[in-house]
Amino acid sequence: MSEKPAKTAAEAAALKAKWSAMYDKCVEAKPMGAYFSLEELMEFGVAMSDTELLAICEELVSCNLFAVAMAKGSLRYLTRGKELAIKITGLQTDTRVVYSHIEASGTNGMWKRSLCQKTNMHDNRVVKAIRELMAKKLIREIKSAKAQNRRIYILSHLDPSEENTGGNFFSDGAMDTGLIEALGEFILRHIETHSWAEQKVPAGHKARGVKRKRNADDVPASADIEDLPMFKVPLGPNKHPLVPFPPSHRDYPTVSTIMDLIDESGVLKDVTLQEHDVKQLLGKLEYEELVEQVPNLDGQPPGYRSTRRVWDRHPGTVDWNRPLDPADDGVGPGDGFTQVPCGRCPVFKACRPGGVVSPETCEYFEPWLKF
Amino acid sequence: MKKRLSELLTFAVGDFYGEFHSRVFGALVENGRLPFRTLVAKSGLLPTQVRGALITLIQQSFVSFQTTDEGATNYDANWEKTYNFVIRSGKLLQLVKVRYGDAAGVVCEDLFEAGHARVGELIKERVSVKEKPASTKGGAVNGDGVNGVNGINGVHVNGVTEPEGHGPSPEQRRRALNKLVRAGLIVPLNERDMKSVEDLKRSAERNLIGTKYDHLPKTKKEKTNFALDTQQLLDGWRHESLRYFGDGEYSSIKRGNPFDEDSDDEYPAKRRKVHGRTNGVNAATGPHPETDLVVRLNFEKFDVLLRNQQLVKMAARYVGETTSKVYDALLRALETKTSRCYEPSLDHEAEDKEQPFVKTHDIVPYLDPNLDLNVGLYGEDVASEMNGHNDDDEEPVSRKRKQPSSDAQYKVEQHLRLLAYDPRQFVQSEGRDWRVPYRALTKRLLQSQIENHLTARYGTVAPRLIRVLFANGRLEDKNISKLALVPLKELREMLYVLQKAGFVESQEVPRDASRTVNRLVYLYFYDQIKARRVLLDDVYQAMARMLQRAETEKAKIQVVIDKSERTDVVGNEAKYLSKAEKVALERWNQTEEKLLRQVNRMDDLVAVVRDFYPMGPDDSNEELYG
Repeated sequence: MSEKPAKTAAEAAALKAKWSAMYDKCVEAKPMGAYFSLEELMEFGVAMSDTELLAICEELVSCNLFAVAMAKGSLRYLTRGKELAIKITGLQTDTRVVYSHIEASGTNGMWKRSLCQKTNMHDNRVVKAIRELMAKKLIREIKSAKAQNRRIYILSHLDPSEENTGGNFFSDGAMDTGLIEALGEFILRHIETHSWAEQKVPAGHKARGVKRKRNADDVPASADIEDLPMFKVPLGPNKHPLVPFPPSHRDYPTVSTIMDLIDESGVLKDVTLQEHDVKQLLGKLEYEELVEQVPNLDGQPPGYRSTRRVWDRHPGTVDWNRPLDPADDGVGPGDGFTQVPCGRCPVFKACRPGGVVSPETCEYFEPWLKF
Repeated sequence: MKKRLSELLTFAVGDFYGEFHSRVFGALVENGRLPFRTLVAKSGLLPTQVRGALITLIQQSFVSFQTTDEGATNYDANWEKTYNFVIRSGKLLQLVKVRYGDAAGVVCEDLFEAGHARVGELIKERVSVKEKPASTKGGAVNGDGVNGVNGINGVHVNGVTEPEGHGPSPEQRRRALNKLVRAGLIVPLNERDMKSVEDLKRSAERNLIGTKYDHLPKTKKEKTNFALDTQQLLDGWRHESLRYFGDGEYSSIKRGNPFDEDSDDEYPAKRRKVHGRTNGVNAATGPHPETDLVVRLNFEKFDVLLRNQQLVKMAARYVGETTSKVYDALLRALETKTSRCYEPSLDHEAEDKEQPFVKTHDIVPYLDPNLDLNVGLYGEDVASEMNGHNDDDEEPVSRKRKQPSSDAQYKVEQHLRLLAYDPRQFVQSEGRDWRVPYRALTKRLLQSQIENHLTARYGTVAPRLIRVLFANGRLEDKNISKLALVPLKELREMLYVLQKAGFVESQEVPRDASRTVNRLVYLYFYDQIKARRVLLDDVYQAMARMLQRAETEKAKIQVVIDKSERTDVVGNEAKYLSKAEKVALERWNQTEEKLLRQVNRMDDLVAVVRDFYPMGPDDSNEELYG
């Protein structure tokens, strides 16, 4: 009888030596909180067989030095610090279960509702556990860009994943429009200065040009309406018209040059932009039709150039009470329909001849038709 | 969907021809195809009144009729033709005047007023008899197809009131007519042109079932083949009437053509070259065109001209003014090879692969000689000698060889290269040959018109979302937010506005079998065709409102207008009209001009959105944003 406990004691001592050796190796191999698969643990050479390995892991889990997690479809273990393990040992069972689930979710964090579902516990018990964990500063609540109203919990020492923050353009789960606009403006200004060439006025051109040649792009004051350019001609810094670079031009800004520019200029303080961030911003500018991609014929990534700016970028609200300017067409966005009161009429759908809202009595027409 | 259009057209017809016509036309658009008796009942007019109105409407092709084998005749309104006559005629006349001179404008105007007319009528009208040239009837005879309509042809509904002797001489008219025929804007009338599109299709189908098919198509494959064959037959018929003046390519004028080479052609040297004519008969002495031939305006071709105008405008917006003028020359050089905006039987890619080429030296004659080609080019581009998209041709040897002979050609190519390398790809090149991918480009034009419209109407966020959806297909709002970088709240508000207006649609997709509301995914998408329909509907309504308002404004000072039109007042306005009356008249003129100018501009929008690109199901939603 007395032999058996002694034997187990010896075994336990051996096991203890093994699992502490295992734990040390793990801590050595990867930083705290890293995942280990069974194969990786086996390679440490501490355990001789699968059953032994499982026994060791079981022991580590029961000491709270290991946590069980599912990752990439298989069982993984992750390491915990010794102090943390002691803290966890002091927790109640409910709380410990909740903690381990939050821990297993990693940087993604876990929603309260999913916690209830996974732990199969009542809402109240989960709330109580969360409160305890929050009080002990083991977990914290974050706002996610994915779902702003959800309460998501994450281990307090972890930074939320990009999926939760939404990337660099989010702060506190909300889109940082200030940053986006400012940075977009910065990029756009850079692209604009590298997109269009200022026309060189050829020698002798001026003397000839004034006398008999009529240019489409610089208009004499007395020109007929039909000779006026259809669109406002964008001018460069020297007040000469901007013209496209020849097709052989290769120096349009690309994603990488723009990234370098941002890094060098130091416009961003605590944010480091990744390439996909810059791409996202350029995408936004492209969707705004402020920039466009120019294919590179050498097989390099495409460059960006600004779309020819023929009207103000922020047209603002158009006052349709103002008399129509015949030269208006083409100077700003809009068409024959948006230039008339009907194009912005709030009761357009209700309008019919003889109705309450009718073309005969329309009050928007009055000021519009006045000269 | 056609409610607004029918309102607009009925009103405009009334504006042009009076109430009887308006009521008959209105009854037809409201009720669809009607026999005479029902038409009388629906219009609430006397049979004689209806008959009188119908004569005009049929002459103008606003109404078509078909007589069944049993002898019953039905009447049907023709949307497209009516629209072109009552809304677009002013714009088209202006276009003709600018391009082909005032005499051509007058000929076109007469043809507009008459609907269709015999060549003899067109040439001699408004001219005193002695100036009329002796007509030789010996020319090629081609009575086929016009017999059915000759009866109506002589009717003059809009009595010519202008004094005789004014306007262009018959010789000028004849020349103008020749120009227009060569441009493909005037074509011989065929019996089939009097039928509505649907009837024509039906008769093509009936024709096929008698010959190639012995039963109605049943399986899906049979149906597709049948539809294809029908379209081919229709195209064949269409070609038949266009080919009247030549046996080959559209509008290329060959032997046996009654409309002879003109001496005051725009680019005589070039023309002769293009058509390979050396033995052209002198216009003054040669045979005159057959005066009995009935001709009509070819709106399909007018659409091509209008589309080219819009494409030039797009080039001016995105590339530059001078370059756009070079582009204009290119498009005009291609005009003779393009008979309509798109071929219904071909899909997007197939059609653009078959677009005709034009050589640089054929473009140069179309350029405005005053145009300074240096403007809009950035210095000398050494490397630009390379050849279109063929990177193989970049070796210096071939570069040297390709040095263009003239400076103008060289400059033109520089401009065209700018267009070819623009992200919108206005033109494609193969060496010295240039072609325009019309179909893809038109789609682009269409889309940018819609985006432009949305910008002006809803601000800059709306087109941004539309572009995201157009480029990416169906998306959840979160994903749109990420791509457009618009905060979700703002995004949802705008999506709601757009959805309500009909530009964006949403779709519920259940995430699991339970189909509960909170397990649904809402996908938003943008359907270009739907958006076009929505936009058109609004524009039609606004156009109608402009015309209705013009009438209201006119009614306010009708007394003064009547007075000013009295025979004793005309010419003596200073004597009989008071100052207040003159001011009122002046005001009315300005008001009318303003309202009509807007209608005209809205028609520009209608043309882009409706006429240049097939309205049917889209072939491919290709990437617009690289």
